[in-house]
Amino acid sequence: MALWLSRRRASTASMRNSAVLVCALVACFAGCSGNDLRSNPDAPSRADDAGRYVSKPLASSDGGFGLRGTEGPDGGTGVLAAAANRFDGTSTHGSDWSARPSRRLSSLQYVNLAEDVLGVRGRDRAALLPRAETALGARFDEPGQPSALRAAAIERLAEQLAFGAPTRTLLSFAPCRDLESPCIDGFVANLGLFLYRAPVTPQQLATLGRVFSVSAAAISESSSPSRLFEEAARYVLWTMLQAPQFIYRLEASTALSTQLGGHELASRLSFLIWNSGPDLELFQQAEAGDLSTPKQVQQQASRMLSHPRARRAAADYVETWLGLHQLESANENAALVLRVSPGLRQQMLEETRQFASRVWVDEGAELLSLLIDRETALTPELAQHYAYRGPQASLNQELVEAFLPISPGVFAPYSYAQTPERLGILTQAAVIGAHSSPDGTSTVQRGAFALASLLCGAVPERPQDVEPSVEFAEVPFDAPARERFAAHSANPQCRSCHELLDPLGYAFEPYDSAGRYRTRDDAGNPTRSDGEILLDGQLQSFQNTAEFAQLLSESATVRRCVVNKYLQYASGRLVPDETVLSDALEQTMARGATYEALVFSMVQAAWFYQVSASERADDTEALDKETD
Amino acid sequence: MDHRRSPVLDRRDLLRGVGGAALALPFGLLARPTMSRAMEPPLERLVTVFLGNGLPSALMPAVSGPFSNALAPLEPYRSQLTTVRGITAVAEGRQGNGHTRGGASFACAKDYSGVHTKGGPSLDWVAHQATQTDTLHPTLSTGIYGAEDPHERMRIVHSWRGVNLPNEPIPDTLLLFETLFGHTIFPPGSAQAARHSRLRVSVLDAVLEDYKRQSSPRAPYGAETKRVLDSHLQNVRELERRAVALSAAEELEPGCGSTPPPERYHVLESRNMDYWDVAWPVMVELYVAGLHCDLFRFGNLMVTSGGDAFAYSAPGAVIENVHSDAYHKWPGTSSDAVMGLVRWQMEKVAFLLSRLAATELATPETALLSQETTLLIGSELSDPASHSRDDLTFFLVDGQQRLRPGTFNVAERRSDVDLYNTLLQLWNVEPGTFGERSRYDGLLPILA
Repeated sequence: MALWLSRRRASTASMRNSAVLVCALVACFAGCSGNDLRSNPDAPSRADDAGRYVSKPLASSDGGFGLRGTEGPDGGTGVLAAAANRFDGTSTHGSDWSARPSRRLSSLQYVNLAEDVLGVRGRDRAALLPRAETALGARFDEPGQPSALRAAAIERLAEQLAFGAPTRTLLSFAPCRDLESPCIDGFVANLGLFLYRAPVTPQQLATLGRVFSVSAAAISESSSPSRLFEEAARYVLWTMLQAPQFIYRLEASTALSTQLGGHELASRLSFLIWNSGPDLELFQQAEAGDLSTPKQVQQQASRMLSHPRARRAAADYVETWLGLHQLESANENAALVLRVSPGLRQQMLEETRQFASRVWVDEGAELLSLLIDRETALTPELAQHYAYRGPQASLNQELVEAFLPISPGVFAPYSYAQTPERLGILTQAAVIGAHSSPDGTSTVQRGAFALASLLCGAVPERPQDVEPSVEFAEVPFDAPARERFAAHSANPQCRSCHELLDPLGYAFEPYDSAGRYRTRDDAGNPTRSDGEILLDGQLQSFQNTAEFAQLLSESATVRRCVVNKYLQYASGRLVPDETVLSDALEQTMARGATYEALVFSMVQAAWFYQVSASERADDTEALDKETD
Repeated sequence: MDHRRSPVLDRRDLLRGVGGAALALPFGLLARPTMSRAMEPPLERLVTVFLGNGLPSALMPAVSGPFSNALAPLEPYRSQLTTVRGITAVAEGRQGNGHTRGGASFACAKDYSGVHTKGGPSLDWVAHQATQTDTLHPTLSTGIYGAEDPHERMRIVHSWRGVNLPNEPIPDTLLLFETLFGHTIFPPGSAQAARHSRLRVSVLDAVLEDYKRQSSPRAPYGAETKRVLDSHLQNVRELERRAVALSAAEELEPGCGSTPPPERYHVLESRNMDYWDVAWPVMVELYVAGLHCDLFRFGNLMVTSGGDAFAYSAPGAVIENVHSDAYHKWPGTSSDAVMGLVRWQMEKVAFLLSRLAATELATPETALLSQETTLLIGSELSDPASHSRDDLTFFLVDGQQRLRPGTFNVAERRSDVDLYNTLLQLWNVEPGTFGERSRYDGLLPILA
């Protein structure tokens, strides 16, 4: 029963009621199944004298985790969220480094919470996601500047969720047959714990109780007594789904301490491992004071990693890291939209999500095996898509026929052992498609993606008044990509950037904007994906995309970048502290360089247990907090 | 009067009810207001209109003579227009490209530090503040765009309260409808809907209370957290005010009350000219309805944005990407296409002007909307190929005729700071206080 007792917050009689606790348990476990364009003075070396790409393991050169559509505290969306992080006035170095405070839920977190707490599933969940993106921004775990339009969208989203939530889920939090205050308080307290990720305060209880009373009184004239509770409860839910405690991941501090409280640590842990809120066990551990030491946290982390939500979260992370939300943007990928139906696009995304979950969570493989694993799961539609080999080539019949027995839309395992052009996540349609523009193979865009996402290099700012494609004016449009792109090197205004980006983009040239492999491009020119890069201080050559992926999978630079990206994701900070990053890398490597090791390296770090000192509440606030 | 009996304006009407454009819209919604304003001074309204991708200097009007070719749609309004040529945009921030810089300067004339925010408040917001209006929405922005880089807010957000405080445009007819006239998940006109509307106020009151509590000095959070929460609080406050007004629809002017709900939440997905030909008239009708109902008096309308990547098809011109395949090749091989695109934009502006002047929106006691509205129409570039921003053209309309009609070529290097400060004289804003003060060289001689 102690679960419901906050340290300083009074609990109601109903909160101690065992029936209420049972309701909460039911509710929980029923739900459980369920480029940067700025120049960076710290950037790694760009290109060597021969114009080849050069990288070195220097993590501070990160160009930012922010991808198109991400949010920064400047209120903006986009790749420059990284920049926003730098001018927000908070130090990103030193012992006070920690996660960004008051992060707004990402749209994926919103729908995960809707699934886990309110039982929204399947088609309803899928329908919720675009609305959540409208309301909350892109799928990135960053705060953003609120706006009136966004507040209105949140209200609308909350309304639809509140009035569409399954009745049995609502009742599971407290099936009040009467409208007596203790039962209503229990309902609010139970629901609030999971939505607010912390016990409801007496003030909140009073406010929400008032919403219930007013709603019940208004509804009573027309509603049957048996439905009165449910209908009034939806107005309470509508309120809670707009509350700051729900929309933002608030973490309190005092002038004297920046240590996270138990519930806050539980929340940080659950959003890291599940990309959603805590479950009852985690709350119980927090309430009992058994969630404060690294050992206790690691025990919970181990449990959580074996839960299905961890698979979902790993997929969410990879989707975010690789910017796959762009796949769904019609405007950004016009060619893809033209060639690929929304249903197939969804299957592409699902392929990559399943792939990431399997490799990282189910199999516990080394992190970079994500780049070279040859097993996947396809639907017949995806098989047909991947069987395409070019405008004048025949389909890969073997692939098509392998999926003839499979029902449409159903995923079945498939091995690319005999298909050299396909291996790892970088050759999957979702990844290729998300980084393609309408006009061709998007060498620059893909190069920028590889540089920023895999090598943590800074993508340079586009020079003033230089627009894409301008430099191609005198090169035949049907010339081979490399010939056309050679114009980059000939143009002094373009050279510095494109000598950096193009060689990386060349590795993806055989894949069209929908991620289909072709031996010849649309103009009939043979496609090439060979090249050379200076990686980890050594000039290394590759003959094709597979060899390129293999090189990356063995690179210390890429390994460090993968840890860097996850640290950004975990902390919400786009420029991690160098010491923190080095420690995380060391810990990850020491534990086998797996996803689990990566997670553990986060939850074992000191920063994970504290609020950044720059966000410390002042003395007056601390005093008020104590007397609140 | 029971406003719930207002004619149904549903999603299908919104998205398909064009053809006759405005005429197809069931705007009994715009029944004449009964509140007499005969004894009141004219309302003050300012709407900025952004035309993306540049207005090439070569297509802009000479000092005299009729508007033709690309500007032909504006010819019927020429006598009302104050056309100012030769303006230089002052914003030269370190980030982005010409579209970003020009976009940053438009209606703001202040330098910026990132591609996500203008360097200060925009004209419409300053005018709103100067008039101290207390409308349901302080400002309202909407429009059509197909930007390649919509994540660069400077390209698509042209109304700002200040740095990092965007008044985001509503890119979607349905959302615009809901924002203006509310929504309900219950059958329109039903008792349930009315009750839901009242309860919505209670819900928002509770949400507001929570935000106040969490952003108060007593809350145990640092400054950044409180800033974010306080900003969110202000937005919820706006929502709550709106909800109060909508729940008391009977107190509003007839025809401006609650309206039936849309079928579902809908985001404008199609970004092409055919769709915009459908969507724009609906947006304008709704926007004009909002002005008429005095739900707001200031804001921005956007007719495409900087760097648009939509396709264009016209006799003799088939362009996949107007940005790179037409505007960037100006004048060269793309002259006809750019001329066609600008003309298409001007048709959109002309439609707006026609609706503001619609006589059915006026009564003997009230003026035409056009007589109480000031427009500033401009773009971010004067040369879409070089991305030059030093010979910009702006079209101004002031219904109270406080601006001199005609075409004015300003002296070299007069900036948008001067233009905007001149315009703000209509709202008695102290000269030289808007935009980059160091670039202020005095008022332009366009005031009547």
